[in-house]
Amino acid sequence: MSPAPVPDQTPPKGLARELLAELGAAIEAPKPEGAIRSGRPVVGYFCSYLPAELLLAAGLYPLRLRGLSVEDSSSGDAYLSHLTCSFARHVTAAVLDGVYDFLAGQIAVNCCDHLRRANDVLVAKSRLAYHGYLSVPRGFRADLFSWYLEELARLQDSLEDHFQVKITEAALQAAISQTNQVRGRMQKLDELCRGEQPKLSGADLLTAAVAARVLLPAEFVEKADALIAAAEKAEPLSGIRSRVILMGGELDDPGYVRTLESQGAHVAGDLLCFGRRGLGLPVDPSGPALAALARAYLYQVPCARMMGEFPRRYQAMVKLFQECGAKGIIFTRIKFCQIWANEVHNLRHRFESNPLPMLVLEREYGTISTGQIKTRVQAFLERLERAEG
Amino acid sequence: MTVLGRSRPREWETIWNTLTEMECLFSADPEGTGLSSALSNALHLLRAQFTRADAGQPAVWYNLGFNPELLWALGGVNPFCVSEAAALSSIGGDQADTEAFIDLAEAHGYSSDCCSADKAGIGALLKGLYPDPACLVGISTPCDSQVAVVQAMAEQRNRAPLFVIDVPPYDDERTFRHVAAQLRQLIPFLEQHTGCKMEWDKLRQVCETTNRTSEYLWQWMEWRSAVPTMQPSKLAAFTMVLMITFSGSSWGMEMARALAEDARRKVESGVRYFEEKVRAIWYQDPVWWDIQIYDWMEGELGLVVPIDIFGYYASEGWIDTSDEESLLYGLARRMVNCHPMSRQFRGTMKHYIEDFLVLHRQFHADCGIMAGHIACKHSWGGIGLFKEACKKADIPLLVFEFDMFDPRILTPKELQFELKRFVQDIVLPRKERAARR
Amino acid sequence: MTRFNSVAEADQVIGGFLRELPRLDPLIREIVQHNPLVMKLELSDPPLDAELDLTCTPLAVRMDSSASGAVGLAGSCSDFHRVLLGQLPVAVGINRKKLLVRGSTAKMMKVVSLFYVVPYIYPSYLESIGRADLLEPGERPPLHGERPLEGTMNKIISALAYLAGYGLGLLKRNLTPRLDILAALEAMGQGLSRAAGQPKSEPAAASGAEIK
Repeated sequence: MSPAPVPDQTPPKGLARELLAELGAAIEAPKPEGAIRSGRPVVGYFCSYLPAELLLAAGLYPLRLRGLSVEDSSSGDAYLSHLTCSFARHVTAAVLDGVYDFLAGQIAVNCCDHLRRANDVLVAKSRLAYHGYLSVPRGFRADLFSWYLEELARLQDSLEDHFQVKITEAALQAAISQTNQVRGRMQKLDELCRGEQPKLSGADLLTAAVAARVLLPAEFVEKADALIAAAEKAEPLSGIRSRVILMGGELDDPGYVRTLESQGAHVAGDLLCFGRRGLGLPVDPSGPALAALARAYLYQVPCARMMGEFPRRYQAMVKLFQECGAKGIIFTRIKFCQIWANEVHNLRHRFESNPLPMLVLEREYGTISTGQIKTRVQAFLERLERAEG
Repeated sequence: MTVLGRSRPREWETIWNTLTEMECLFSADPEGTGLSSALSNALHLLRAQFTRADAGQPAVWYNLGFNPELLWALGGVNPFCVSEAAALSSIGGDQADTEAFIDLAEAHGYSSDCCSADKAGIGALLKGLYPDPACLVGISTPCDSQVAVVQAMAEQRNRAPLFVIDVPPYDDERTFRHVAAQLRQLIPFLEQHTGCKMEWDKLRQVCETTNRTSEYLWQWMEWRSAVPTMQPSKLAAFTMVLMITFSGSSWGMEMARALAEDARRKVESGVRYFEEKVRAIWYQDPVWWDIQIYDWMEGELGLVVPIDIFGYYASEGWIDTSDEESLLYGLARRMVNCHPMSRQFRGTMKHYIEDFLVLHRQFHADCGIMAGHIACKHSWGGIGLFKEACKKADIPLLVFEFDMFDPRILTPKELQFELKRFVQDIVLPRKERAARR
Repeated sequence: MTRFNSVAEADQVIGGFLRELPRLDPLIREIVQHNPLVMKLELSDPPLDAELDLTCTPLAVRMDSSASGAVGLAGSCSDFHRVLLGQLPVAVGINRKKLLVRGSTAKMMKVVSLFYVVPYIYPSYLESIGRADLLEPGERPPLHGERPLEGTMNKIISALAYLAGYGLGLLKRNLTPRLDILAALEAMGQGLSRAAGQPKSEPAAASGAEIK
């Protein structure tokens, strides 16, 4: 069977493209302009299990930490060794090399060994004035929920103490309202990506999702509204060979997704930390705000760090696969990440009884092996097309 | 050859036969009672496991961060750490089997980045070496690889009911109570899925056995700190084995007693088997793919490992057995703060570094050796801080990449080269210069 | 303690004994439970390397081979001589760092049983080459711990074998001091092998030459 022609997906034209470019520029800048304008102290954080609402309610600027602004991770490598996650090394290097000198502090989570050690280095070696910590439990049991809620309360106290602020119930509710608006906009953008006639590519969606972690909610909502309006009017994407979903751990580089899609794949949905999975569930504003946050964040589609929750992750993946009309799964993880690496084993075990085509791509943070990815995606798409035919 | 009158999977027969021969061989040395006791008690445990499996007792699987006191207290269950077959194949069986387990796990999609103890565990599980479990216990310490293997074992065994024990990275009362509360919840889970009832009196007895074991371990460490250390270096790591597999059992207590007694006799008799030239704190995983290499270190280089990270047993191991709360609290605190690697790695690098400096002083060491098990991201991630601490304390440190169950990562010859060069070119000259000053 | 003054002497005594072993091939295979492996001996002071190759039939003994073998045993010639005499149990040798073993523990444990048996043969060999001066007087320590024999039949056969050995010993002591124990054992091995359905093998080549 001769291979189908492989044009690039045609990106949305005009205004939508401009708006996406603005979002792209916002996520590329190490220091968000909004941070400068708002005058809020910027606090970096690592993980999807940290409610940004706490920081917003404290009058801070929550910034999800990334490391793409450093090409050379040497200072991170020296402390963390070359045998650890390149994301952790890049972020560590970014902090140690001064890229994040504007941060008032950072908050770590016990998400994985690599980031725990990155935190150790930042605490010991950086000049950051504040180091917060959140211990997120490894499961969904009721007693573990209580622990998580207690941890959020302790973090709240710690923020209040260091930044000399009072995080009131009203401030939390206001922050929840703002972030729920962000989630609502992401939901709409998601629909524009996964619809039968998609207007946005997976790379576009990830751009927006990363921007949601970089911009203040009000600014994001404004830009998202404009993007939604423009995209709704745009022509659907063309050149799509197969719809896929993308899953894995840390991936904050839309360029990577763009490379995946350059061969005709359309990433119609994702379960990524920086993507839709990590945005959490909409927070139910009824009842005490902290408990509401705890429920929304703890019970989100679980990360692979959640022991015993693979069945839930698997169901979420199957649901997404079906909702997106996907034909295949592209699984990506950063080299040395054990918990996401093991996910491949678990998925393959399930696929023995419920086969779903999956392409596994291992990568290093900060580099895109374009040729290799294109070749492998091309072959994967051909396999999907053969199966279809 | 059969084991207890029945045919078993080849790997278990190999382990059984090898351990039996080893026990027969080493019991000929009246001065080697520590090693002999370890071998004979390992056989006792295996015998009990086979007997219980033959009797159809429900099996409970767990990962290597857990201690089995609650399981012994249940009575009528057959506990298995999923890494058991791998460890036994390497130490007392055919190393080729351990490598085959690793390869099998990787062929089934288990990542090469994960710990070989867990890869080999999954491989053994895939080969059907353990009786099917009634339920699983998974603890999040000491590392990500445990997080991964718990989910893999749950997935592999028809998604058998799994109880997760979450261990926070803090070192405080709150953490111990959090873990203790989970152990309390674990009891009805185990009772429900095994059909066995846990008696508190039995748990008390088991914990009192653990306390006796703890006393012997502390004595053992004390004797091993004496200079020179003539009890073999290859025994230094056995606390880990005791904690994972034997903790709370009379076999474990006897093993600890024999190790302590053996160490004491060697110190008091002043026996000298070789000239001890260098003492090193081996601060990462032991060389279990060829445990004889420790004999080479001692015989050829005069390099002694009086203690290693697997052997160190912290002082917080005592369990107050006066009531249920204190029992569970003591068990929890011991599990997270005494279990080797869980203690040092579940939190910040603070414990890891501080413990090393303390051990270096207490055991009169000349240097440190960080045999960096490549999957130990929690230690490799702290290597910069650890090196800085050693430099500040003026302690020479050898660091190399290595795997405790897979000699394909660093071969025996390469390991010997690293150690020889370090001892002969760095440590001994340093000692000589210091002696001349 | 015996010291070997030259490579030639070590080769004559220890090497010569090793080169006799192919005569006992069926017995040795039974002792090591038919495990095909190569064992390397790396002796020193003076240097003497030897290889016992059980992957071929009859087993081959090679001197100065460069192969590493599945299992290895290293030590001084003096200490290995004492092992062969039964004066240095292997366990004691390992624990006191006089013997270094390497390689698969499982395979080594198959081979180690040989060292429980050779002390009953080696003295006769020394006498046969006129080196009774190398025999060391004294009590022989236990070479291994108690072995739980499986089954009544094993106990009966062991008792009979003990009687046969005792009888041979009496003969040698009182009537025929030049009794060749090795030849007797070789014949026993032949019988064992024949009973197992294998053809009678030809006598081994004269000792002193490399045997393939």
